[in-house]
Amino acid sequence: MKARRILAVMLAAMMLILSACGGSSAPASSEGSNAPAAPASSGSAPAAPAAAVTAQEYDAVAAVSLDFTTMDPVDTSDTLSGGIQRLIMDGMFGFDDNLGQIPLLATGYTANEDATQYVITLRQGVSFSDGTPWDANAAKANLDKLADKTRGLKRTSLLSSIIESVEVTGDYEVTVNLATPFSAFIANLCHPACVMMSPKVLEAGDDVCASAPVGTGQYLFVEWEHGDHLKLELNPNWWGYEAGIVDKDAGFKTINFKVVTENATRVSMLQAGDADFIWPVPTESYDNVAADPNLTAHSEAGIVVRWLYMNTQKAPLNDVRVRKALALAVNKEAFLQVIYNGHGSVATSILGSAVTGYKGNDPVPFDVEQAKALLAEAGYPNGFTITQYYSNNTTNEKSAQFMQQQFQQIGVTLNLVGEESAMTNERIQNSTKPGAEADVDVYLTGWSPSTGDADWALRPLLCSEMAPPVNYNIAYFNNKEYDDLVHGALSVSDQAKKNEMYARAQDIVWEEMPIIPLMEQDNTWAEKSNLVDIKIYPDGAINCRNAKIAQ
Amino acid sequence: MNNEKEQIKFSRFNDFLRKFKKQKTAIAALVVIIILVLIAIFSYKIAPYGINEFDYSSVLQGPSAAHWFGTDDFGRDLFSRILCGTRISLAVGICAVTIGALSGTVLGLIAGYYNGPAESVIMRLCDVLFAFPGIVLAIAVIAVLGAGIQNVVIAVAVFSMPTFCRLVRSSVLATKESVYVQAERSLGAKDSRILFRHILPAAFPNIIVQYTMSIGSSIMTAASLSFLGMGAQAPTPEWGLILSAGRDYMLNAIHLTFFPGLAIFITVLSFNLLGDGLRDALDPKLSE
Repeated sequence: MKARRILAVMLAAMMLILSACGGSSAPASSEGSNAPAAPASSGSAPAAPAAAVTAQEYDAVAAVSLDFTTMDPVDTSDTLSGGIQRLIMDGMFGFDDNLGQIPLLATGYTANEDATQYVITLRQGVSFSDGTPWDANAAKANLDKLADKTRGLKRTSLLSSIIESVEVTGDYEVTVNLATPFSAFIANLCHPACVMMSPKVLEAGDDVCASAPVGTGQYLFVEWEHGDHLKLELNPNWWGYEAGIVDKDAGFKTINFKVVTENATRVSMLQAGDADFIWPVPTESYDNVAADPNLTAHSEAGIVVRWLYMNTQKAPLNDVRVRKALALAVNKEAFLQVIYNGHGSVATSILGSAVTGYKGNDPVPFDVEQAKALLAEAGYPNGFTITQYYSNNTTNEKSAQFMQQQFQQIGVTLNLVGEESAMTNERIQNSTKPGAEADVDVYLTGWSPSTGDADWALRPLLCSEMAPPVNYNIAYFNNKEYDDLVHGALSVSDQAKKNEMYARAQDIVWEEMPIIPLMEQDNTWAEKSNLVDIKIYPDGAINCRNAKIAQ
Repeated sequence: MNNEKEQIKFSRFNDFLRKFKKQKTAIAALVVIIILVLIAIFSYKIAPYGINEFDYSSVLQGPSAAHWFGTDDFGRDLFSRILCGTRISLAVGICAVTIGALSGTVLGLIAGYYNGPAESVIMRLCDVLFAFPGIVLAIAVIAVLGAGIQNVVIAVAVFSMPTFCRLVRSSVLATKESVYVQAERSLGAKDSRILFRHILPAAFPNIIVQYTMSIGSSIMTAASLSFLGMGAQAPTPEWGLILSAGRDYMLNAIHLTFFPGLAIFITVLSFNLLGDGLRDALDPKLSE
């Protein structure tokens, strides 16, 4: 009797210890039993490079670190969802692997001299997967949605103040009249928010757009179970195969994107053969993944920049001296090493260095003494207490703790509140309160302008009209000179002059410190070694159009 | 009369001690628990480093002379954090079970002594609580109250309460018809006197054993909740939380999960072994 009880206790305690192995989610079992079988030789995994299986006969599994937010491109603010949408829907223009512009559903365009009118010719013989033909009317319906400010969708800010009217000037030709000269118009059309959706779905309303997207793309949307997985199926009749966008044998039969927020679980899924590719690779496991002969790992410079927003409307952060003090108190070099294992570089702007219009400033130094002095000067010699909300995932939690440690050095107490990501989005990004009353004090985030252009970072991130819930100005930054520069640059077509204005705007960010610039992040991803051409765009979005299985 | 009573009590205690001394494992467990309690009390004084003392130049180091249990991902000393975590784990376990035991005992006394609607309501409530596995019930309570260590105490108290309630009730049912209770009643004693002077003491041995055992399982539940992100919040050095933060480094820094796991294991095992020993010593039915 006694022995049995001891045994039971020991088993129970061991279970708790063991539960650490697989994190809290289901695939824990795959670690113990399947791991040694390795993907290459495992009979159960169809992943095995049994020479006969081609990509188009293969059901691929990808593991991602966050849940998708929506499938409506016009309402998407995260790179992850945008990347998936680019697989389902094509834009009129898009990117090659290096963010170079290529025509997709358009075949070309002409612009008038002062860049206020664009005539876009459309590709013929393409139809949406629900049978609706792709023509000028479909293009107009999509552009009208992008230009419609009244719908309250996040990405209407991309083009709504620019597009004045869209005219159908032929079966396969639209003419877009702009309110102001805007030279980056085609660049903006490359943004994942500008992918084209079937007019039937658009008519069905925003809720349908968000949950059942239909496009002309390489993949068809199958299902999305929130928080669990999103599944796509290959569209073998995709126009892109004929048009030579990708090779004829590229693409998987299906791709199941599984949401695996636990870093360790995501890695063990890949190692056990339960996932074919994952991104991002948690930097703490990168070396292990890279050393695995069955896997290929990549770490490449991208255009994702990370920083900590400070609410410039709310005391005590409404004092620029306090903001500067906090910025000085953070050791950015250590942040890069401790949180990202050195996969990146210290930020020199709110823009990635590869973005058009980037101007580098000296990184904000790490100087605790100066920070303390500034804080005392601002009237807080003993510091104060603020709160950081963050959505629960391993990296966020670690970063939040890091910030807490840094601020502690100057006597500032940072309360940490980790929540479900939907709750945090509701509290931070969709807050309808004015800045001074908003819940947010500081908020850790990152951004990559998916247009490759400065405008799509500087404007949504810090222009005064972009404060939540409209867009992403979580600092509630309100600086007239900055607004004027960024808005003004839109109507300047001379790139050199534009860059000058953007440079000044970036200087203002350094002077006013609505953010603590932290780092420019490398993109990391990994796949089974027998897969080729799985890539990540510099903005961090998945690019698996041309994916194949090596034969 | 009084003197005689004292003597009976004394001999009962002696009897218990005599039996308990024979339980070697239970005594060892008791020693471990006493050490743990001392650690809990003096942890912040004896810890070689501060619990939030970070050192980014020595992260994820294995055990060494300077850091007995190694360092974590922020370069914090794991030994110090686990020492200081003892206080949290013990406090949570003991507080939660004490609350559960007190409320369960009172409800059990009422349910057992007074038949009728009170009994039905209390016992059906317990049945409902029993229907859920402990951890699920605790998660449900946390979902309502929100994450945090205080709420973990409440959650664990809620799920340990019905056990005590049932235990006490059955003991009351057995004793209340006994001759000495009937004699007391016929002498005109009040209900409260009968309950607390005569019936409750009879249930004490059972309560003590259950209490000790529950502390072990409560510590584990609390650690599990923290592990799942529903209990203590970072950077609290709670064992479950340390374990949870360490699991990302299972492959390259096993010490981050091994040591907190070991701490939980030893603590829970000690309480259960002690509980076993107490039961053997207190149960008059077990022959020697």
